[in-house]
Amino acid sequence: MKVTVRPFLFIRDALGDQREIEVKLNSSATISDLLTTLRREYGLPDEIPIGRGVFELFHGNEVRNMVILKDGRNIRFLEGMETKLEDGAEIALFPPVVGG
Amino acid sequence: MLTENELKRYERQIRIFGADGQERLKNAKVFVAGAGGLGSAISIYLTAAGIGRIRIVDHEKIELSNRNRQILHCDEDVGREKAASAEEKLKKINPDVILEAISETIEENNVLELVDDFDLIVDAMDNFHTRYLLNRTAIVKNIPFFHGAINGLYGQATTIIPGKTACLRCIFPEPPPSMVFPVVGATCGVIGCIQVTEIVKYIVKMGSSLENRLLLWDGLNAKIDEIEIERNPSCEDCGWK
Repeated sequence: MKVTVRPFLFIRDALGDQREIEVKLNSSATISDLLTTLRREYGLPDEIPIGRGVFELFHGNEVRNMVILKDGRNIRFLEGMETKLEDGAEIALFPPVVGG
Repeated sequence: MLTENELKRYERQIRIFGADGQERLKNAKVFVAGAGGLGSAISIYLTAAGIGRIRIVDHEKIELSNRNRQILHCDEDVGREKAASAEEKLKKINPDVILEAISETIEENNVLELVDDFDLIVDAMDNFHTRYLLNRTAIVKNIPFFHGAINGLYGQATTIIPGKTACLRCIFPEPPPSMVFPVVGATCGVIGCIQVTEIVKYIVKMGSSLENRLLLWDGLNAKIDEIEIERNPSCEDCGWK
């Protein structure tokens, strides 16, 4: 199956400034499998340098500072990293912005 | 009714909203949570637009390190309460607006009273703890919540209508880690002005808003994007609505 990944802000920059990435996965793939594929094959890094600081996306296999939506819904409300994907699913990845 | 003076002051925007739209702004009561970076841009433009009554709440005092972005305050205000400084400046910008500046921390035990009978809440906070509190308060009071946040050259904004749109908790179920965030002052201007535009449109009933859409501003690459978001039926904050 194919899913569409839409990365935003500096996560997009880290993935080569692509607005959308089509990723082929096996039919039983989960969000966890998608992230593994993005890290191994598409160069999604563990950390992204921002100015003079560093923004951590992964600590080991644990996701940090990255919001993941599947078809507009936060995966925390679905089955987290074990959320199953379907053909045509849209996955948004973006860093949370906190300040004011 | 608008006075002669108001008809002159708002002449350029009455061309867009009509006198009835301007009257809606005059009759509106807007609660602004925060008088920092976002709060500066938001409160200046709300005041200039002729919102009838604005309550701005912030418990902090002005520090020199705020001065690159908190344009409501001046160097001579360092050490003063932000609320008092905000009230003084905003009254000079538009003396027709009723301004109420309160130097208090927004907390669970005072938020309902602080928001009182205001028509809507504007998010100009710098942390998710208080944002969640304001999000819940907006849902309980059934009033809109205009979210904005910034970091460095990046920002985000969305408009939350209880019972209709995804709420802040639907998008961010858990608070992102608190941090001393870097910020370029103009980012507060970009996001704050988007929030004010949303508020003004909501009050005068024009256009379409950022309902169920999270707008993302990438100032580093000069790009604007949006993400479609959906309500979570089991959201702990808005699921019952």
